[in-house]
Amino acid sequence: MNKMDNTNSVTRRRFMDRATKGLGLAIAAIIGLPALGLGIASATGGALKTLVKVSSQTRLGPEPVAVPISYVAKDAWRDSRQQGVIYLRQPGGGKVEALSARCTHLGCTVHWVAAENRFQCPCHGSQFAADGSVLHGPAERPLERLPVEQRGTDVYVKV
Amino acid sequence: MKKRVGHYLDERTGLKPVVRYILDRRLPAGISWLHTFGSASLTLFILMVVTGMVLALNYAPSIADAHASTAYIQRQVPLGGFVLGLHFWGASAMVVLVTVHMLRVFFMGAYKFPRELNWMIGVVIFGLVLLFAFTGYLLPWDNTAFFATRVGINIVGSVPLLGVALAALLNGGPDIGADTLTHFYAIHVLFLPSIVGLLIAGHLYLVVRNGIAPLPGRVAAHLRGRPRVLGDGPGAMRAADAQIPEHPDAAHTGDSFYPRHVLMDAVVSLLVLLVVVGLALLFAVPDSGNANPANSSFVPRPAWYFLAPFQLLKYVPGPLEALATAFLPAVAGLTLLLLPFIDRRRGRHPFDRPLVTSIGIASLAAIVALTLIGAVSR
Repeated sequence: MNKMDNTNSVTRRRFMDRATKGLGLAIAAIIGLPALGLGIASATGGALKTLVKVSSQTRLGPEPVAVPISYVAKDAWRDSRQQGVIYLRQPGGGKVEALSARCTHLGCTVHWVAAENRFQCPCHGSQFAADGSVLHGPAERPLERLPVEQRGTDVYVKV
Repeated sequence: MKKRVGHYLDERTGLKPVVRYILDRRLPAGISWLHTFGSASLTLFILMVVTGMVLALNYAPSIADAHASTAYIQRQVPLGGFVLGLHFWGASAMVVLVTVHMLRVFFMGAYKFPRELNWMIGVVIFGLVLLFAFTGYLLPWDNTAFFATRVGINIVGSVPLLGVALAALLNGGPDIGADTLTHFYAIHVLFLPSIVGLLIAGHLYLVVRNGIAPLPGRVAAHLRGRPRVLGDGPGAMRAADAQIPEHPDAAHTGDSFYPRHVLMDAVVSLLVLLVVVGLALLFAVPDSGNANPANSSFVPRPAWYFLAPFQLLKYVPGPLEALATAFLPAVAGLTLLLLPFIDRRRGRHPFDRPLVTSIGIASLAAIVALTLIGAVSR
């Protein structure tokens, strides 16, 4: 860009330079911001919780019992059938507790090993107590407690 | 800091002189707002690429999911309806701007030596923009899209000799269906963007290489007509072409490209974008419901930019249909493509080329009239 001695034309040129950059920024914002917003929004949409009725054949006690669940969940624009397993227990005949079977380390499904009175993760060896607390790493957080609603004899769990 | 980064990069890329050359090159005197439509089209192309990429994050190109995923984008994804609107209205704006850009070059005779190749690239880009619009129109898989596309493909199918094969290629089978949607999707998001992107790069290179055509000046009567070719060989032809006079001030004596002309480009690009934003905010993208091939009451209507050929077909008696579906488009397309080799007379001013100018105005008037009639007739 040529340097000009005329002070006026330098000012004029500088004005146009600034204006061009300003408008360029506005154009980039109009194109970029909605796209960025949509990109982020479609990645952060939280999963909707579904209330699922669970039935257990065995009588519940302090020991966790695996209960298969099956429900229809909203997955973006589709209704998709989800299947899985959760653990139910009723310590001391009190409130029913529900535990997710998903290991808090990397998400494998934990198994209840009755002989050792603990949950065992088959992937990296994490161990959890009957109430879900960590007995042995690498997991650092207890198994997730799922909200439970009791309606008469029916048990509903939010998954 | 900025200087050091620039120096670091230039030492390793050598791009600084290139950028300097592009920005500091002198334009011919009298370059006006009419010369900003090309860059506004480029801005729209960038808008379409960026919005298209993020729409693809949530769109599913299968007939089971296309309509539901589009509705999901429009109604549930935050900003989804707005971005879909930008892409939808941006398509119309694209057709308008590329056409206006082309008309400017046409009437200013800027397709003549040495810019013949760039005119041809432009004509191809124009055709591909229409193909972009045609393939994108089907993707929401609503009734309008489905039935209008079926008519469109059937028109292609009625072309003598090649028609059936071309229609099958588009359909990906005997009729419109699951394969058609995946074909259109692949053409729309993979084939066309890469091809058009390359063509735009070539287009811009040639604009910088050959410069912007100066404003057309009148040519003295005795100088009109084809330039004489003296001797033979490619050099002689080139010399003859060079006799086509540009402006009296053909020397590039105007401002440098940056900042004045870039500023004008930015102003027009911004205005065009604001119009598209306004349309996207005011008018939701129409949704005529999940495509139902069994729906017999649905009257298909093409997008407005295809209304002219659609309306024309109403006037053409059956036996002559190929005239309207194949002969006319082929002649029009080839004439546009080869225009620089058909109109080889000296002189760029519209009044120095009365025949070309009249045919141009008549064709434009016919297309506008057919579009308007098509828009009001039900």
